[in-house]
Amino acid sequence: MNKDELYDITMDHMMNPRNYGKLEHPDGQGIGKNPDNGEMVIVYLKMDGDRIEDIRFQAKACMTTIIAGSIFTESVKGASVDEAKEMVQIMLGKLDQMPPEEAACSEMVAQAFLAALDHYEAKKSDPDAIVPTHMISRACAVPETEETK
Amino acid sequence: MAKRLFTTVHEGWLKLLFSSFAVNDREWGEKLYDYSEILYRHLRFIENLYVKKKIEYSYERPAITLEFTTEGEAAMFCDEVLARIELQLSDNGDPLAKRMLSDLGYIRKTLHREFERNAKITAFDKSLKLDGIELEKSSLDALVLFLFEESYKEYELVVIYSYAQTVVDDKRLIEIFQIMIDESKFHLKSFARMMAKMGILAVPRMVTQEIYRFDSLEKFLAEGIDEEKAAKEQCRALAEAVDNEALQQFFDFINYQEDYHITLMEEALERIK
Repeated sequence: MNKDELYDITMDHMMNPRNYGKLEHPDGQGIGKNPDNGEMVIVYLKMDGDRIEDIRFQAKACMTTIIAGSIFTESVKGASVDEAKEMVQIMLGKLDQMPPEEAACSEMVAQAFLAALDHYEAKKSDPDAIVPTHMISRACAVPETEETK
Repeated sequence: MAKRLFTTVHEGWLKLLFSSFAVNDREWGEKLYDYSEILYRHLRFIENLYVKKKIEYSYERPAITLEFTTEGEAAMFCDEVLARIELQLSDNGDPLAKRMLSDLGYIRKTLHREFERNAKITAFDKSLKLDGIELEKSSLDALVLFLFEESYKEYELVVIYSYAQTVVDDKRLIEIFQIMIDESKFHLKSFARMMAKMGILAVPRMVTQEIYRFDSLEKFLAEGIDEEKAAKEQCRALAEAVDNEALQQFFDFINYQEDYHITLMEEALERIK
């Protein structure tokens, strides 16, 4: 994929984010949160056995998070849990190559999804299991130091 | 039924509003804008009625994709949702329903006369050109991101302050929230028209209940002041980043308006303390 194609895809997700919103009576629900600024992502899952039948997300966050959520949810919809977890690992593995704010946004989406999977598993033994929140490990921006000032 | 009508009228408001931004014929665009304002007023009339009757409603709604290629198709796109509102109202004989049906009937007749318009819509062509202004790649990227962020933010503010008006009794607070609604609408219009010229026009994502419903008015206002300050800073940074005098003047102009919003919100915060 060349740069122009990538730009076009990103623009498309900005203009029409996929899977944004809620699912009524989800099988799993999880929150990914940035403890530094209160930004958060909620992921809702509808499962068909081991397969992700439907997925939605909502965010109190910047546009970069919306793009990440839109691309990610489109990728995992219809995938098995194992396939989706593999995609998450690939995504998390690439965070170091991203600018800090983009890495934090992508991690927030990934953590919300992992929290939703945890919730789905927990509900099998406890239907009233609490919706889990995963905190992200990265700051949205590199803290200002004497060297970077 | 009640929840569905509110959601459909909300959808109708946004479809007329963003169609008004999309068309290049500005006289027709302004007419659509006026119609969208009528739909917004319908939404608020219904909201006030529901609040009075304690009927549950929500500003949450499905995503809206602008799917039309000509001005005639834009008229059909708007007509479709207005027809659905009419169907949902037809069993109801109260004065508000009658008023709404009369408005919808008139607007739909006007729209029907425009179905044959064949002027092309360029608002989604991703041209990234704005009034012949040449911008460097970094300035252009900053501007695009800003427009997406802020068009959502302004829509979010219209929703938040509309809802906020229904939970306060103080006259001055209601007045302040109305000023904020009107100003946010103007900002939304300004940003969305720029997006249309650049071929990146889109309806913002929905505002969830978790965002527009608040438990504490004081906390809501305090956070709102922080958000306005952040918006002001973003505007100032963008004015510096774009290497174009006309754009810089525009963002400074918006920036000074944000200053006044902060003053108003501080006044609101003082009143409830």
